[in-house]
Amino acid sequence: MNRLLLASAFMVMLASCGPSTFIVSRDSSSYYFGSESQSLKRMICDTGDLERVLRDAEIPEHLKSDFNEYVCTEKRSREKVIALYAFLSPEEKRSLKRAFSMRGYMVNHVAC
Amino acid sequence: MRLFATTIIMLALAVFSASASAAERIPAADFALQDMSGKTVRLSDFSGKVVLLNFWATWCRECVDELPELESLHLKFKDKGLAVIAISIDRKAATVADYLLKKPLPFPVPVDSRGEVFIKSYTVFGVPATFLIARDGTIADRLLGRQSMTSGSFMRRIENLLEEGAKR
Repeated sequence: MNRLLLASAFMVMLASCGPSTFIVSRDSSSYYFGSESQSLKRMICDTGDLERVLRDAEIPEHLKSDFNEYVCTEKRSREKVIALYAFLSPEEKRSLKRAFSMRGYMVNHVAC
Repeated sequence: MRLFATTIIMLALAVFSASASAAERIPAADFALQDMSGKTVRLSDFSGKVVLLNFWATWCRECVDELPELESLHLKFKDKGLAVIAISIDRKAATVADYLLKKPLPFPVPVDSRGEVFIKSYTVFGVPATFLIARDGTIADRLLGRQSMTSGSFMRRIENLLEEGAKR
C-alpha cells in the first residue's frame, strides 16, 4: 500500500512537470517566463525590462517580436511562449537566459 | 525495480501525448515549406494519405536518433499509404543540407527556419515532436519527445490509421 501511494505521488509529480520555459525571479517574486499572470507582465513588460532583455539576446529579430507579442500584449499566450522557447537552439536559449541575468533577474531552469 | 520505474516513466510520457477519438480530431493545418532542392512541400500534397509529421533539428540528439526509425516506417508503409515528412527547425537550410549529404533520407525534409509552422500553426512544445495525421486530414495523435517508432504498439497505431481510411 505504501509503495502504491509513493508511486501515485511520483506519477503526479512527473505529470505536473510538463513542457515549460524557465523561472525568472526578482525581488522575491518568481514566475514562469510566459505565464499569463498580470504580475509577470508588470514585472517585465511594464518596466521595459523584456524589451531590454530581448535587445541583448542573440536571437532572430522576428522571434523577439513574437516573444514581446505573446508575453506583453493582449495576445499573451503561455502555449505560444513555450513553443517559441522550444524553437530556440540551445545557444539561443542560453543567450536569452543570460540576457535576463544581465538585467538583474535570477533564472532557474525547470528540471524534471 | 527497473520495470516499476519504466512503467512510471511511460505513464508520465503518456500524460504529454494525446490521442484523439475520430469525433474529437481537429484538422491539421496546411503548410508550404521548401526542401533542400527548393521544391515546395505542402501537407495538402498528401491528401488521402496517413501522414507522420515529425519536427526535428540537427542540434537535437534525440531527434537525430529517431531518424533511422522514421526511415524504417517509410520503407515499411509507403506502399500502404503512409507519407513521412520531417520538418527541420534549424535556422539555416545549409546546416540541414550538410547533414543530409552525410545521411540522406528518402522522404521530404522541408525547413521551417522562421518557425511559422512550428510556433504559429502547430504550437509545438519541443523537439522531437510527432503528429499522426489521418487520411481525412485530421490530427489523430500528438506525441512529444522521443518515440519508439519501431515498437509493436507504435506500428499498430500506424496500421490502425491506414486501415481506418481504407474502410471508408
